[in-house]
Amino acid sequence: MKTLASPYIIGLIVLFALFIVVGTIMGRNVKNTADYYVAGRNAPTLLVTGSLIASYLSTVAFMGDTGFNYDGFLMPYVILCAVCSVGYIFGARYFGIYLRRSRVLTLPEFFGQRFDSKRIRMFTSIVTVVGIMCYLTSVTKGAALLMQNLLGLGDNPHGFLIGLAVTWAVYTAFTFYSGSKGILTLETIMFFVFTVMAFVSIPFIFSEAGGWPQSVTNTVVWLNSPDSVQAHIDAGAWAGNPDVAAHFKPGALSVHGVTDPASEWAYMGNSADTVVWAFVLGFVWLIAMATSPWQTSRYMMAKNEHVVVRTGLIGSVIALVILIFLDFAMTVANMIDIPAGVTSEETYVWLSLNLFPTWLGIIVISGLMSAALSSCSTFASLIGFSLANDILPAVFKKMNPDKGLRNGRILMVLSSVIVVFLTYYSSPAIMWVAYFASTLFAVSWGFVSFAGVWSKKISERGAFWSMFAGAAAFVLAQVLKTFAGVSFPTLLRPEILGMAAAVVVYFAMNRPDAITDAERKFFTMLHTQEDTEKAIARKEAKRTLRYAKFVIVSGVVVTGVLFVFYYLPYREGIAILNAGG
Amino acid sequence: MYTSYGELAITIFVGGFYVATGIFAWLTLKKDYKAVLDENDDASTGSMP
Repeated sequence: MKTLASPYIIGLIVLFALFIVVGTIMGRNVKNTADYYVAGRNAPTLLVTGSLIASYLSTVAFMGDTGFNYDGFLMPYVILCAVCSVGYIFGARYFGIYLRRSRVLTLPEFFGQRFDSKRIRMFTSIVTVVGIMCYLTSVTKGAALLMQNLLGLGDNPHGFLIGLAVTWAVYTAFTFYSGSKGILTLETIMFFVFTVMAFVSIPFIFSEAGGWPQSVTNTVVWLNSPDSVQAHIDAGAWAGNPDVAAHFKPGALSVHGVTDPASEWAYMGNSADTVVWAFVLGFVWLIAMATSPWQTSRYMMAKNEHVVVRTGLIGSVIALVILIFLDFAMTVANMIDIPAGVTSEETYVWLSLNLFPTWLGIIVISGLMSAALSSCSTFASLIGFSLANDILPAVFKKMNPDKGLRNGRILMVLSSVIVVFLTYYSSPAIMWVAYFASTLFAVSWGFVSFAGVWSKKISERGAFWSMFAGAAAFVLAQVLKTFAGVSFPTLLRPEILGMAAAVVVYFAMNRPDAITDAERKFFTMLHTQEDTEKAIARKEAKRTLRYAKFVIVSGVVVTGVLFVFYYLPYREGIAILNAGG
Repeated sequence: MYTSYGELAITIFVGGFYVATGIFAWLTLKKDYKAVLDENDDASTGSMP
């Protein structure tokens, strides 16, 4: 790894300075809580899309997911991404528009008003704070590890703590003051940085792996058997790590990934388990993308309902394209001679620091830190907002509502300090903690979110117990699985149990005859479009429809590109294997 | 004997899923905007709404 004086560090210092300056300038425009929490509800499509993607993609995507694909699970991951990314479209169309129309400041406030219920607002606030703290812990861990290595402190006993402190100081510095207006602008800048990173680095990875299409075919053939791996080690292919087990990943590019029990990488179970996992988790994440606080909060900032719809449409395509093509390259990176000791999650960073040209390495390191910090800023601000807007006013009745802006800032800093402690003492797994946290939102209120917008018959009682049962069943099953070693059948995974519990308990506990006038009034308001929106629709409807056409065309292009760049060379590799090669 | 049917199926599924979702979005949005689109067409052709 490079040390403090390297151009990578200088690049990062420049980037951090830019973030803090922009955050400070934007913070001057914050006059009230609406500015601070929802950017004055005046953000255009570009800023909302940039922020949406930036808060979604973090070290989890660029270190955890790239590592997962380097391990040999590309196609299950592609399935997962394809299914979940359309969550943006459905979420914006069937939930986001109505969330924005309600003019609330936070998602728990929306639920509280929709069901005229303090306990629902409190419950969703607590789930938001706990779930996002877990997610923030996961993302901060990745960012701190990256920072530790960049500072050349990989072997220093206090290196992680120093990396953690620097990461915290930077994202707190620009998030604390800037509010949502600054966060939207900064996250859009960060979005551009890591998008450039992803697309520029892809051809370099292929080039280092032996070029296209050879690298794809070789990934199919070389990793397929211990004998094949040994033969290529003998030929000098992996001089830095001449361990057969490290490279024996049969099926790394197949539809199910590495599932041969003889391989130490077959940790996802058998073929059917892995494919079903991809569809199930894809669906769970679809719901999470549609209803989670860190994604839906962006819709509240949109300047009109067309911005919400367009953001969902274009965001789904951008997320899909970035993820599947970067991770395709990371699977092919198995053909590169990477030394022993570099973990899967560190592989992309190692490539950028050791094999890419310096200018590209600077872009990648800046992109990775941008992805990490953008998610950190979103999560830290959401925790602060929920504490200041939903939890503390309910606990301390005499709290001055005029101090909401100040309280939001103070609570954001305090909660981020707690996250620093959690990060320091938590498990090293980056990806799985984040999956747990995001799943929690989907299983708890995924069902109620849509039902609350689209059904007049859902009552407070049904909504509360549905949310509670979904979260409780999921957490209980996950605890049994993680700590007691209980194994669940593929189709009864904790996520499925949680979602099923939410639906079953809703029907058991719902009392439509107990719906209050306040609930009916709020429901009617949700389905009443403002006159200003009607006027905007006259001008903007045709343009919004073009975004839907863009999704259709993108689907054709994605399959075409995958067919040529993935499938044809893959089939060539299969032909070689069948010929005994 | 290795095959590649599953990989071909997923290659088609990924784009196909997006095409289907895009068509669904386009149709439902068009239905939502029907009133304003008709109004705009009437205004541009000079006919009464």
